[in-house]
Amino acid sequence: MGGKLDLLQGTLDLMVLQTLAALGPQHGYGIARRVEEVSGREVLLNQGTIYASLVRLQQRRWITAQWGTSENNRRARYYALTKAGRKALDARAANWERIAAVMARVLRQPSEGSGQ
Amino acid sequence: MIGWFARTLARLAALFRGRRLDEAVEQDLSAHLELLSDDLVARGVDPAEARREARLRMGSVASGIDAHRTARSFRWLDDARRDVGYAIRTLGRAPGFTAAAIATLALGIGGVTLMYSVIHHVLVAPYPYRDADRIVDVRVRTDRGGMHWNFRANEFLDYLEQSDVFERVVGIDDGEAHLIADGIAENVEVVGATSEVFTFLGVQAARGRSFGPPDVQPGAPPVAVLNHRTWTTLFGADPAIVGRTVRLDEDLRTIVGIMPPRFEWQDGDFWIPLPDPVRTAPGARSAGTFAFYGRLKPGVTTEAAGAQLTALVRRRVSLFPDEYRQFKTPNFYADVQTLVDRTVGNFRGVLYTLFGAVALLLCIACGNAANMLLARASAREREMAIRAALGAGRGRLVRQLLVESLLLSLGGIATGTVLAALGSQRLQDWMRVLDVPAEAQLRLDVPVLVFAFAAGLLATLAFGLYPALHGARRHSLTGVADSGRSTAGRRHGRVRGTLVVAQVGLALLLVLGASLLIRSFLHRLDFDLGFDHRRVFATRFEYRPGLSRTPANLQRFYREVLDRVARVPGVQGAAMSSSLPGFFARQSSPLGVSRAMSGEPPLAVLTFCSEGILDALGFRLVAGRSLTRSDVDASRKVVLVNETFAHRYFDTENPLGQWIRVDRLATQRPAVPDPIFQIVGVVEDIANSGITDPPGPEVYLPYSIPGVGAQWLFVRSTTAPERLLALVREQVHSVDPTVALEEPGPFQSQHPGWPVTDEHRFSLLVLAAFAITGLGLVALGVYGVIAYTVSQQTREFAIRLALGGERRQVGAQVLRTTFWLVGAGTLIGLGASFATGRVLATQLYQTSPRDPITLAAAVAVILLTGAVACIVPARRAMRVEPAVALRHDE
Repeated sequence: MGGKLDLLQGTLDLMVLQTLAALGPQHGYGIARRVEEVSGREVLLNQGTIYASLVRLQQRRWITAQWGTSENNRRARYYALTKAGRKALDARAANWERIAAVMARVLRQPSEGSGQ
Repeated sequence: MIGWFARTLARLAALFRGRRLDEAVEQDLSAHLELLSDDLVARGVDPAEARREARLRMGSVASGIDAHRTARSFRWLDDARRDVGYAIRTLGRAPGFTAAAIATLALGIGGVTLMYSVIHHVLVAPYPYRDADRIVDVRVRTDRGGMHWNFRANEFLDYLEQSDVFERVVGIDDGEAHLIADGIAENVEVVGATSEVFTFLGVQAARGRSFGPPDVQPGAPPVAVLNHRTWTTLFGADPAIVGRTVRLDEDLRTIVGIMPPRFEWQDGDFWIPLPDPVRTAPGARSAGTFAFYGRLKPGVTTEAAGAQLTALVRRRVSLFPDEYRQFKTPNFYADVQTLVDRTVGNFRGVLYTLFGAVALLLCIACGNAANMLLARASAREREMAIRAALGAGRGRLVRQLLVESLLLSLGGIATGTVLAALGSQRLQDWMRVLDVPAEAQLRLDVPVLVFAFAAGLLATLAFGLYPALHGARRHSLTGVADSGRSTAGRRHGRVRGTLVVAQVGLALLLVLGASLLIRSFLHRLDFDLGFDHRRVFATRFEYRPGLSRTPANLQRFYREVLDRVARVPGVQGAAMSSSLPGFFARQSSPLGVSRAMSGEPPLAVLTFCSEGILDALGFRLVAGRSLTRSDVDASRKVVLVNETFAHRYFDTENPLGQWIRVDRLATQRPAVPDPIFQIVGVVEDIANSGITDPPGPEVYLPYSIPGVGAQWLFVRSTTAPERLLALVREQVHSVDPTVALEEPGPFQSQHPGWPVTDEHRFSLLVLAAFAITGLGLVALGVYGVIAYTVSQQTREFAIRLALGGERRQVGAQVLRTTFWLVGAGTLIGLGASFATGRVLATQLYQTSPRDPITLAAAVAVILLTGAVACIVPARRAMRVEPAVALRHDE
């Protein structure tokens, strides 16, 4: 599989939350860059779609937005995690890890008749 | 969970902040672009190349905004809002079309809503009582038509104790009573009910209290509960009436409470407690009787209850045959019916028929609306083609057009509901005189509004779906250049024609129905009493019980009442009489006639009356003189005879001055010795052998002849009989405040078998109103289609005229087109009418649903409507100016 990964529904939101947790308040571009870097550039990200994720998280009151200035003096909106967002991140990350572990176990079983 | 809730709220809020949110995301995206290209420049990419690269990585701004929109709001709702906004602007630009479409739909929707309201509030839920649909009454019937429902205590208790289908039961014993209270004397309806009746009905008094079991304990003071309507009409809504004492017949009773409005249980003016039924030894007769009203247990049908009660009745008949001997048959069964079924009877069929009729009206209205939309669609082909070319999908266009239809429907629902509200106010007045529960009250409540809404939505699909699909079909770009003079235009002309044909068919059904009812109504009216009964008011008197009245003081009372009533403005005559003209059960007597006769002894109807009878009923003296005041006061032995009497018994001889002997007067008590009377006058015939039968010989005698008497007061007046009531009552009370009027009202209301009832008038007027509305709509529909056809054919007409065709031929062609449409519709309607005729047949009187004259009249009305509708377009076609039309078209 040489192509990049398509994101599962909802995983982008989780990535954004985790990114904000790791970096602190960040603008959309910063979040997008970080997601691409951390994923080892394996995630296919149409960077524009990050803003759809941001509005969803805002509406859930998990992040807040505020105008700020970047290090190279550009005005941009900075997004920051709220307390509710932190909790949601913890819960979802734990959930995600459980699913990933289960999936890994399931996929690791030897498949019958595939030996040939 | 809270996150989800907050998000839903935010998404809804985003519907209304679309523009600001769009700006916000645009700012985000442009900042993103700058930051990204800064980064690329920092990595050594050429600035211009960096911008290009940044754009590529970020994706297009438009798709970013689009994703944002999807995420932040409910996409479909957002679109709907846009569609609604667009539709409002579009409709607003065509106010004429919009108003016409809404008005059309409002007539249809308003009509069905009104009829639904009637059906709901008369048939489905007329009563303000708890679980009223399970309240039934029990009657015992025989195979020979006998009926029995006033049960003695033992029979009542047997049915109560041996059955297990009832939750609760009350006994009712109603009757009239003479009410006397503070200067009021009235004949009132007093309903006796076992003490738990108010719990049974689940209604409590609005003022004071209702009665209960303590009120039938030994020694409890006698009480009565007052009807709200009676409280208003008789006691002027005086709240101090609670606690006061009134006399009902012989009993003094304290009014303890007033029921709320619409509480009309058994049509009582007063409700008084009945002691519970107590068993007596078999065969011994208890004093009171009880009608049996029970609430069925949930799930028990009237049939099941009837079967059980029938078994009980049959057992009782075999155990106590003596109690049932009077019915002269061994075959009994129990008849268990709900309150509504008992009250409404045949009127149910009338209401359903009218509902069917108004549904036809709604179909016609939908046909019209569809027609208007199709006409508009051809004008909008260019718009649709442009929108399709700009990328609007077919589904999107259909949705847009349906939203427009939906808005029209909503307008129709709103306006229609207002119409229905106005209509139900009018109908409410009717309700009082119709065979409907007295409790029934028309109003636009939630079920009715829900119905209106549902009808409107259904109508939207009915009239909007085809035009929407049609309007949004693939438009080639040629549609942009061409203004729709295509084969497609022709095809939808055919569709519109078909719609009109269907409308004409439906309208024919309506018109035919109304015509049949009119004809049937005329048949019912086809009788002549010999005088104008519509202006005659009639009443009897009810005297305070226990007070004996001698013929002499009655005569004085009548004399004084007649004198006073005669002075009331507008009164043309007043008289007392022993009988009601046109009524069957009248006194007649064999006679001796001074002229020698052979064969059967002559017979005549006897009417004992005061001297004013001719003026009071409004018929004329033909010869001789009338009775005079002194004839009556002195009980002179003089009579008037009618013309039939004169012809039959005196042939060509002059009856004046001749003598007759009224044999019956000699045998009655007190006997009139030597009952020989002189004929002093001959009067016109008026009905005396039933309403529709020809009059027989009749003799008018002074009512002061000993041993006879009069009971009816007739008053003829220019004042409407309904309004005369108060005036007459006032005069009677000024003579004797303890005398009540008994069943006062218009002359016709006194006849139990009067052939024309308010139900007939109601169904006739309502159906006629529907038919006229339907005709109007059809005329509009025909006009629309013919006008459209003419506008499509303008070029053809112009060419024909230019080539020397005659204008008359052009007009004839338009007429032909109209005729084909209307003729086809008429044929279809006639076919359908044979299928639906049976529905109406039950409501017709001496009229066949296939009556050829009526059919012809209805067809003529329809054809005429079609002809009128095409006059304007036909004239337009004939006035086409070839030069102008052909040049305009290029």
